[in-house]
Amino acid sequence: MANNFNVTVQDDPKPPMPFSMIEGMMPMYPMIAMLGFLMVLIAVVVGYLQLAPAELDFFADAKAVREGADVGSSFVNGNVSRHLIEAWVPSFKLLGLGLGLMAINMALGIIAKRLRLMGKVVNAHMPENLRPAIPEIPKKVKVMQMLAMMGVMTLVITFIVSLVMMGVASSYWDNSIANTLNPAQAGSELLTQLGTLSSYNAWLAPLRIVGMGMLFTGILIALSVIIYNLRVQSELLVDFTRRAEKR
Amino acid sequence: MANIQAAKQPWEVNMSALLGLVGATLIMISFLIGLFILTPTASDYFGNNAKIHRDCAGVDSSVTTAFDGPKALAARCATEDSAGDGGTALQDQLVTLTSTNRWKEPLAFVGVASFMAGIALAFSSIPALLKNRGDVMAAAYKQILAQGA
Repeated sequence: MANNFNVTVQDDPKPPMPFSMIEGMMPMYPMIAMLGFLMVLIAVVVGYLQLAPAELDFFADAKAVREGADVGSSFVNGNVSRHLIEAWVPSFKLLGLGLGLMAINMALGIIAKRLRLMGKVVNAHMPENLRPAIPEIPKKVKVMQMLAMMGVMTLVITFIVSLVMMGVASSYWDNSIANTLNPAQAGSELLTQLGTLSSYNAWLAPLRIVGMGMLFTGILIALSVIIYNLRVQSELLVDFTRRAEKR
Repeated sequence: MANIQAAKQPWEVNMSALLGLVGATLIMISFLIGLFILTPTASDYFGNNAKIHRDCAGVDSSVTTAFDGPKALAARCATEDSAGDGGTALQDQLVTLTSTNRWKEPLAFVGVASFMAGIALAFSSIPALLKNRGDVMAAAYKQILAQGA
């Protein structure tokens, strides 16, 4: 591989799919970080411009009035809007944070790769008979890449589930609370929908944190690879220096 | 060269791995409690019980009270809650749903904090390693020049 150091260093073998794709995407980390930041910003804007007005619409009058309001009234519409927004925004926001964490993973991966390249360049400047063998790429690099991808995929899945739940929320809350929702009897479709809406967040919210946990684990592994690179390079350089001094 | 040594494995690295493990465990516990305890409980409590039945769970019409609200509810339960007294089972479900989340969610965030502490510790070991790498490189550089590769 040609570089700016006037030496030729050997490229690492191209990893198989999907690792080659992941490595190809790694230099895009600034763009992915900005995308994640924008998504979190959009969540703030939606909260301010849509969720807050919907809450204002719904809580504008007494409990008896808003619960007795019929379908099509501003109370019911406000109630539908606030439940729809609350269904998708948390997952969207966490997906944005997840993209930020993935960008950190990618940046650390790039640093580890550059350190390896630096090591190869120094190695290429050593006399051939004193040159140490280039260490293998640690296997945990692949684990780090897989965890980062799985973490983001988990967050994408939670977002898709949230979008599906919007349909259920819209169907349930677009009813008069006092006249239709409260009198619903066991076994009715409305109560089944209420059961779904009241229970899905119990596993979806922790699943989002599991996704974040995978990304955090990826970052920890990436850091351990960087530390490993620095340590091994120091060991090889010390070994080289000792052998060179003895000549 | 005499004093130049390669850096040893920093203690922060082992500690960060341990913190990562603790974080992952806490997050998984939180997820499993949500999946296997709270989800079926919430689904059963809200999905299989009409609102009047949920509201009347544990309401005892024989208890005297000075407040109008509970009196009215007790009277309503006596006439409208045909399913009868859900009693302790429904109330237990409600207690589980409301109380478990109060510690489950912070537990997951302790997991996140544990990861973050681990990441910070791992980062904290890097400056010393970079310094060592620089010192070692300086010694090696002299030898590379001397050997005239």
